[in-house]
Amino acid sequence: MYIIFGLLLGVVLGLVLKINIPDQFTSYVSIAILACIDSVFGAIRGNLYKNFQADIFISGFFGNAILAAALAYLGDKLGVPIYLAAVLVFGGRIFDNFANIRRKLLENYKSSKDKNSDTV
Amino acid sequence: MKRLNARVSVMVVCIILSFILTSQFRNILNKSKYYDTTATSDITVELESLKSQKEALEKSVTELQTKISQYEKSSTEKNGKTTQILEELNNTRLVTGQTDVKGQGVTVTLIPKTGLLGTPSEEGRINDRDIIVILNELRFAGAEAIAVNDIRITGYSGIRNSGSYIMVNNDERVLPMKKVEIKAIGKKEDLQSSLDIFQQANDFTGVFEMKVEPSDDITINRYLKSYSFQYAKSVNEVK
Repeated sequence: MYIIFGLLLGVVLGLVLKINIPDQFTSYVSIAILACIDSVFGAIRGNLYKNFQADIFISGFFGNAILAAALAYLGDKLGVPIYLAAVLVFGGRIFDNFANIRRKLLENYKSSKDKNSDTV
Repeated sequence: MKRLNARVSVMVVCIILSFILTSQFRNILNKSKYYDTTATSDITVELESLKSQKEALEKSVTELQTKISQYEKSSTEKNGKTTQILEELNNTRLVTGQTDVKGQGVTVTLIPKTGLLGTPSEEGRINDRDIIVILNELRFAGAEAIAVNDIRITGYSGIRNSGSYIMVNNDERVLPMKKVEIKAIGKKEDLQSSLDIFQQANDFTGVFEMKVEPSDDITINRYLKSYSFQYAKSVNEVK
């Protein structure tokens, strides 16, 4: 509920406020977005496993985004594609988290079904 | 309280995430508007049409020139005196490069050195100066007609680097990353021996490979444009 409301509010803000990110920064922003998505998936997983901690989530969200963008920038300056490291790690973790979420949800679904059939 | 905190923090993060996402999306969509592919295809179509126009115009030039030569012939047949004038005219055309010519001569091919993966390297670029010194050498060896990539070199031709091209005759382009072919008509032994000496005196091996091939049948097309003198007037005329 909070998540969906937040997402919608963000979309509206993004459409209303015309903030133009300069062209040369777009690649860094993309990497930062990847890091953020990873954090959100982590949060969903943490929520499902009941070990979600808000402070860890917030620090991870901003810390990962900033570190990823900084690494991409540094890689650009050094001529080494360090951003690949961020893409690999975050991409891998997103899939990993998603697999965990899927399993947990299916387990929950099955157990609730079993309970229902027991009672009937 | 702790739970509420967590929810609010998640909401704030979601707002930020979707905000960045939408603005980034908008940016990228805007960008793709600027680099519309239809513009490039329009330019290609225009280029093609201009090319065909140029070909048609060149055809009409040849037709008109054959007509002129027919008139000249018929006028000399009527009047014997004009034969000498016609001969002189033809001679002048040879000198100014306004007729197609053929005869023995040499073909000089300059092949730029390529980089590791077959890509043209920056050092492998043929420069205007390289072509100019070769033309100079050919002229000294008695070349009577010269063409660079089938662009006729006249007494008024200029050659110079222009961006990534070499401009010849002010508006014709030669790609310096690809091979350049210089054709010259003259006594082929003279041309070849002088180029051999030239090659030993000048080391181009790091930049490009130079091949000289003598031949008995070299055709060089005429200079297609007409000369127009705006400032130089004949002294007798001015007086």
